[in-house]
Amino acid sequence: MSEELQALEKTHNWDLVDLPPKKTLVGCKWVYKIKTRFDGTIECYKARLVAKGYTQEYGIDCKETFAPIARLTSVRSLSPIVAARKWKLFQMDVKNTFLHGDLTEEVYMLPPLGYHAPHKVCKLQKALYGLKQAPRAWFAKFSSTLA
Amino acid sequence: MIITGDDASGISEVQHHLSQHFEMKDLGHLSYFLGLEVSQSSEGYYLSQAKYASDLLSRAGVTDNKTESTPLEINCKLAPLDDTPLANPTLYRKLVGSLVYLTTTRLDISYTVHLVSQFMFAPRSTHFFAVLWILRYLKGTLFYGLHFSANSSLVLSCYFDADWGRDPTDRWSTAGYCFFLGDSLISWRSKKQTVVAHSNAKSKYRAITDASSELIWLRWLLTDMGVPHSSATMLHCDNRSAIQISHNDVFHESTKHIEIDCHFVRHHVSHSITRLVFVSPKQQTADIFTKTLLPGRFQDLLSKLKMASTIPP
Repeated sequence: MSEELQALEKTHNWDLVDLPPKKTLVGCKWVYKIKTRFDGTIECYKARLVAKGYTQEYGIDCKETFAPIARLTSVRSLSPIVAARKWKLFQMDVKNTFLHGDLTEEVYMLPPLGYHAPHKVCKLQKALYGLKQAPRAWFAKFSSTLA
Repeated sequence: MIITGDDASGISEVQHHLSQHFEMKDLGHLSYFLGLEVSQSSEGYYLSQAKYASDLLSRAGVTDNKTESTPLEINCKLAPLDDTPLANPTLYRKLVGSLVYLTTTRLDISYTVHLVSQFMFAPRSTHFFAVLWILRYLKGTLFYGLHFSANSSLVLSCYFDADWGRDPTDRWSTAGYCFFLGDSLISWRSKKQTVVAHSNAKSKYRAITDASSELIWLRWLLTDMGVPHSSATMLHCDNRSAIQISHNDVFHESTKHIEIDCHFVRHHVSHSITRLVFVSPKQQTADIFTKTLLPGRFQDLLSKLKMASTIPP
């Protein structure tokens, strides 16, 4: 949990502000998960802060939410090419992927449990897991980094 | 994220560039990805979902040792009002949902999964028995996966078929296609058509339309991956009239009711993007996506589709 909070601090995910009038708040909660490896042994205990994206409304705190994902047919199409050309496949993973996405909309969130900030709210600078536009924000960030 | 290529320094450059911008975890050679197990040998790559399948079996509580040799009984027909409704449809929906993901590598169950998924809204006990049958079949074939040979060519070809009026309730036809890149199977589908076809040839003609759309996308994708296709791609079909219709627009009387969208097949045939080839019904590999089969024929087709057990029997 503290690791996740550190990651959030590091990416500068939010600023603490007073809630401006006529703005709505998005809730959030902690989700805990035990991650297992391929053979079933425990890899780590994970805590993830998620925003309650289901309270967001189109036009107020989110606009476009479409994000492309890879079709599994593409993965299967790549495999025979890799096999025939004797290439090697490498795998990488981005830690805390969605926290990197920049938000263009104004989203205000209640401070999470375990975060001491009386009478203030979080104005999100970067995306959080659970926000409707999080996948889209990440895709924009990722493609601009690669280009 | 998967990275590949023939340029080792280029790959590490990309990896380095990404690590500068994001906190990355280097997972080395690809072995486990979205539930897919990838293993490499000198003969090529294997793709399987053995762990996902065995997790599914334990979740479903299939603990006995009974197995089946095919995913569904031959000539089994399911109707929406058979037998009694299930008291707890959630389990059915969960299981079928997981089976749908399993079809990522298990083409052998794609036809039967397409059948049982039609009853998600109001499943009944016969449908649940069909799901149990699939699970028993999986139990005997856990390690089946797709083989991508290192000695394969990279030429695209397709087989497609439609089973006319297969559904006993609404008489819609079931269409299926499969695409090979050399010997390796890369794309397939088993889908019920959304209109009633007048004849066998017309249901197949509609199936060509589906296959052509996928083909055009695949040709784009492969060109993107550095495997361009300049010559026409062979589409194999076991119905001569459907081939005739696609070549010749003179058959006005028998085709005037077919929607315009289907006739884009003709455009692609006349522009040498596709070439339709007759194949005898025995050689028709797409059969596995449109009907239930006897164990002998089923195994025969599986070996043609390059499905193999990752662990030698």
